[in-house]
Amino acid sequence: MIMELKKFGTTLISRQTGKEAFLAFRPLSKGAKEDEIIELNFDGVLTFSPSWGDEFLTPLLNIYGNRLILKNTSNPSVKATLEILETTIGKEFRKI
Amino acid sequence: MQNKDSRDLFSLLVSAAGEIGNNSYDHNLGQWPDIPGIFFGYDLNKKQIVLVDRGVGILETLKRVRPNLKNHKEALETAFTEVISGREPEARGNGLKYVKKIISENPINLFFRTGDARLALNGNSSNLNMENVKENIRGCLALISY
Repeated sequence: MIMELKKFGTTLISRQTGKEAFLAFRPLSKGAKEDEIIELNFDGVLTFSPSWGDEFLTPLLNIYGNRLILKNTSNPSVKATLEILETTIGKEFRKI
Repeated sequence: MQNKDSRDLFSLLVSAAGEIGNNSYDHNLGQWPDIPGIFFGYDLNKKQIVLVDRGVGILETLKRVRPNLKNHKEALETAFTEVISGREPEARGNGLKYVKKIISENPINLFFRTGDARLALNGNSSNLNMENVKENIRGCLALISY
């Protein structure tokens, strides 16, 4: 399953919109097969922040673990956010 | 500044301003002492972004989870260095650490005021320059420059 994060917007910075995005994505991701990879593509995202990421990525990482893969994470705010979330939650995201 | 460099820097500036502004709302929701909301202004020519609120401030927010915090300076240091949230048990508290991290790695500066404490973070440095000042302000003031 592939999700283009830019479909939620290109400036992903508030907790409220991160939570809404998670609630919108959750029913879609529930349709994934048991061993299916959940790929989140950051291509086109201009700005990303820990608040949005914590509401969207942290619960997905807790649910899917290694099945969650992040793609195109070279944007500096995406990189910095992932680093701080990994430090806080003590888990690493799989990135390609 | 080249296009890619400025695009990269703006990505970080917007996320830092977003985190600071979001904090104002998250930690004052339902408790604004007088004027709700924030002042937000920016000037691309001066390379400055300002965010100000008249909320309860960092000390009162963090005292809910750290009752032993003594003053604004101590609260400010805690907010920028420890993963702690005034909205426990929610797993929050990354925002200002994130701001500090990106400033320590980029040419971005931050001047921050809350209560009678003042903080200056200079670009490409992780030093927290803090001091007490005479004038006590309500809420928080952040000036980001680059």
